[in-house]
Amino acid sequence: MRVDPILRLIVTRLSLAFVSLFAVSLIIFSSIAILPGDTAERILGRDATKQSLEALRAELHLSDPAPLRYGRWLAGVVHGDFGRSLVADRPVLPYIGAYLGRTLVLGGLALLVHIPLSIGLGLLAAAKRDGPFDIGMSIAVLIGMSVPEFVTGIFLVLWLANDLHLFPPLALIDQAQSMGSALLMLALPVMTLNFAMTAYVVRQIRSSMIDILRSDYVRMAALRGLPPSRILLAHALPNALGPAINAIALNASWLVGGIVVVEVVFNYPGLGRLLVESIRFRDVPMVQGAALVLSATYISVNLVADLLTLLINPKLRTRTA
Amino acid sequence: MTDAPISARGVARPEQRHSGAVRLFRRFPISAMVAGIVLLAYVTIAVFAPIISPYSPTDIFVGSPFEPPSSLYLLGTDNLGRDVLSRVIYGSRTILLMAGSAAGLSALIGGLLGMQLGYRGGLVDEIAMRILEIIMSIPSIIFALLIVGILGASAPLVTFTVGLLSVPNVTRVVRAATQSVVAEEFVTAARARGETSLSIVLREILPNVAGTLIVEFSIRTGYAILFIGGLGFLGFGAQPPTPDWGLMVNEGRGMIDASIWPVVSPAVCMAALVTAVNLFTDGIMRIFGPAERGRIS
Amino acid sequence: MSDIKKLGLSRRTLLASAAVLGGSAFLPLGEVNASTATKTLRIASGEADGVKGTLDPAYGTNDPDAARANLVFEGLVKLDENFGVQPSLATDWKTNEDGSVWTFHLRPNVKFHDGSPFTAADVIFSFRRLFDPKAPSPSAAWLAPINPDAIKASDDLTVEFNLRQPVVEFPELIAYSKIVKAGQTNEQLRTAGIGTGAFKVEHFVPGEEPSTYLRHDQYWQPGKPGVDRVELRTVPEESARIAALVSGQIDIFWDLPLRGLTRLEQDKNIVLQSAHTGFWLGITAWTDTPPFDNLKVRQALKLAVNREQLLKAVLGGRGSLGNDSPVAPWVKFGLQAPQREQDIEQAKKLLAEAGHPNGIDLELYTSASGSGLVELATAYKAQAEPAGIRIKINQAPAEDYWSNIWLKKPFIVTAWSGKSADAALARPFLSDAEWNETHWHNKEFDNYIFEARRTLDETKRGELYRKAQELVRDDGGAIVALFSDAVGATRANVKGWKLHPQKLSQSFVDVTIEG
Repeated sequence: MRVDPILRLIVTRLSLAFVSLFAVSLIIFSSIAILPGDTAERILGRDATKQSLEALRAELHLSDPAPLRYGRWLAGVVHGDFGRSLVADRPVLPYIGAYLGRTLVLGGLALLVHIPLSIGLGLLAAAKRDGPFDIGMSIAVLIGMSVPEFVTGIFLVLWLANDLHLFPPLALIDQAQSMGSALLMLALPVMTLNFAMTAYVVRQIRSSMIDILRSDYVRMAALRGLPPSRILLAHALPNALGPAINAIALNASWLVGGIVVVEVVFNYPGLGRLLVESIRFRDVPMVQGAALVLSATYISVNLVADLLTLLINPKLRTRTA
Repeated sequence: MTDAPISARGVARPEQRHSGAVRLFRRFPISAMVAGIVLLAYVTIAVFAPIISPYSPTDIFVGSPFEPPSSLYLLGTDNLGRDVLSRVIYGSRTILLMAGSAAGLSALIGGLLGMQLGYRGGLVDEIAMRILEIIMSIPSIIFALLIVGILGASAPLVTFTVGLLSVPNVTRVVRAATQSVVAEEFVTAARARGETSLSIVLREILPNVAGTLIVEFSIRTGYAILFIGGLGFLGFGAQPPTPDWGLMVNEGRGMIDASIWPVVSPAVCMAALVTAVNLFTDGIMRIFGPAERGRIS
Repeated sequence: MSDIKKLGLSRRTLLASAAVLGGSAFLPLGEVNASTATKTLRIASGEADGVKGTLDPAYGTNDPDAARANLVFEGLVKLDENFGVQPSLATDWKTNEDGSVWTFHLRPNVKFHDGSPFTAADVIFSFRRLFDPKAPSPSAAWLAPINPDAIKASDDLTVEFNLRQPVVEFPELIAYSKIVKAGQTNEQLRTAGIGTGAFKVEHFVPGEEPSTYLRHDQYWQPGKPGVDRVELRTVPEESARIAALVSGQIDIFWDLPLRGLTRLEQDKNIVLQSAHTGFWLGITAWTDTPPFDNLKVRQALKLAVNREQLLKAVLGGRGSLGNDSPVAPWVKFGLQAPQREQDIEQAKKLLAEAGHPNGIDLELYTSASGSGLVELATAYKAQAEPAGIRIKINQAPAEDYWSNIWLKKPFIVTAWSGKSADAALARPFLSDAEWNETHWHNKEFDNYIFEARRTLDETKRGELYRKAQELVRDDGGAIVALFSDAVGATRANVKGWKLHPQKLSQSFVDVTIEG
């Protein structure tokens, strides 16, 4: 029986993703466990009392061999038990759930703005090629790619929140009394993220569109007397979308990593900030949980992006960069 | 600005083995040349920092804290009365050294690995590619935070980690470029002549992927600057009182109401440096031809 | 546009519906209270505590912990701005002839948050649990004179403390210890403790912000508290605190930086308050560890300090000079002595006499976990250099510092909140103090303290405390460099709040919000 090639593709990618996730969990666990030095001492500091070291060793079962501990941790994770935070003395999972939710809100919002914004700007830049808009766009793109997110974030707060009072400086979401004011509070971090992401897609769309607009296919349509807007939207855009979606997909996965810095800049209670904090606190179970979940998110987003790209553009069966 | 050369098509064309200098410069846009000059300026400043810098970057109280820019202190002073300009100048050393080394490390290892895999192919290649894919499925910042956070932040460790994390990207690109070169006739001819693998790799393949490698090095430098700056900002980079730009932004942002210059100065310098690197990268990408690449990440 | 026309919508309608949809986004999400709106006071501390936070007054260690505990719990007595003792849950107290037995009369008709009455049994429970051998509170160290098994209730409203040794300033000693309702477990007290304070816990989960508190309707002070609800957060970035006040997102900050306040000073909607405090910043060294075990080395380190320059560098001038005694000169029993000045030559000479003719190399730990700590280290490094004291600075991550560096490294930058003379001397410097940062074991000093605690005569007591301070200054391992001012601010419509010089003793009972 012939298996649908698309189905086979999906299954392959899915299994690859699982293998990746498994490998990632191994890497996360071993990077903490295998590094030189005694784990308990590393967590509590070299001058910790013997008592507290022993207590920690018992709690984390550090006397067991590493593979056993790894297996135990993994088994727990599969059942939803990520262990107990050393610092909060409460289960890790609810924290991760809450913080992840907030990260997804921020990331999702950023993407929601990013997709229409970058496609629109890219189209405009292509349509007004070499005009003042296009040149301005090129400069903005260059700056967007070059300025680090923490710089963008700090400056946006300085300018838009503190000077112009357009947005509240702190993202204290729970203070928001309506959807609108919550969105206002998230506006600055979303803008910061978009500043970096939009640059790539705009560039991508612009160059694809220019190529397409020069192609015979489009020239034929123009010769046939179709209005330019129709050509742009109905004929050119679908072909340009492939690489554009690829770029957007890459942005989505970049987002999982890039959001860490933005969360720290804006003191936003998301998973990225939790990861950084728990590393500083040496809260090993929390670090493992947060790193694993963030990586899983990254892998999932990558998977979805991969599949979308391949499904939309069947020509790109070989791995795209 | 003309078309951005991000096309997913195309391959190192054979005639570019023999690019003449004239052809080179005709394709090299002015913006890239300006960028190159800027880069040269940065490197010069970094090299001659002790001579150029008006004060030592760690001398406290050359002026009172948070002084605005003046003829004595061109960029003002920070919370400890240190001259911001001097710290920025010395900071260029830190970042250029770290980012350059990281990029160099990834170019070296990635280049060698990529050429080997591209040349040999077969099962080793398949397995290696899977492994690389898996490594690339961890967001780099998480991996970097884990390593640096647990082992303790220091400049060499950060450099090494950032360099290592970019190896898969470079490997992939060099491997692809190698594969296309291997398909060319002159390689088959060399094999037929009985050349050893090593000599083929060095004499036939390397010159052809050199362009790609140089472009990759340039891209990786820009990326490393951003990554290292970000780690420095989070406190996982070089430690105080080292004048690391990312760290300076972090230290200064709490007191931004007292003075913006300790934050603005390193931030602008970092942004300008990456901009120049990106423009320069675009330029050399035109020379060496568009290679198969994805986003700069 | 042509397709949309097919749907029968005109452009105008489309725009109109978009406006309505967009505008409705700004309508309140939940129901609006039909009755008078709840007055919510939004306060924030400076330090962050993440998932470490606790509501249990026996185990709190930082500013947010103290803020929480102050909202929900009260002590038998409390300290005012001058470290004078005021009644709180106790109305009056007396002692026997030598100060070894103290009797407190408790305030009648005080109710806990759950309505149950406050009695002597709760006092006994609250103090006994501090000494639980399985999980002793850090305060057990300085409360050592208390024998937990010798606290007696003569009746429901009278408690008698039979101390192991006489303590003449006993009320001062227990001013920070809070009373919790008897019978609660440590788990409960971590997040949902029941106390007698003006506010009860509505919601607190370590790591989640804000924590919220509701007015205690049966609070014993009539007409108080002045607000219905409190939201407590942490805002670690100093510039973010200023921004939050200006934008009106937070009503009160009691921990503001000493610099960069121009925006606040110029804003008519914000009221700044400032106060002299006993909060001191300095550097401490383990006196039992080479090279600090040599007295001359310690003296040299102290002589290398240029305190005026430090005051400018670290506090922007908002503070006063320290003289290596932890008791601020304006506090009761504070040592009045000529100000110690920098003397590099003498420092070099002392180092040479101590066997370091070529100077010494030291590693100094600091962190950005409190304002001024990094500046202090960096400034001192440069000041000490000409004396041959070569310092390498190790900056630890902020969240780490008080758990992994303080008390665990031999040479660190430190800060102590202001205290009365006895506490300021005893807590860091008594030989068996839990927080003996300098590992100093000076029998003479210990004796001065113990004797002072037995001396009912104030003049004589003062003499003893002054002698003790002289020992710390000359023999101890601490450089007490600076005393800080405190700066706080409120929105202009917030009334009734006074900045307490001690960061950890803020009260919000009298606050009202206008408008």
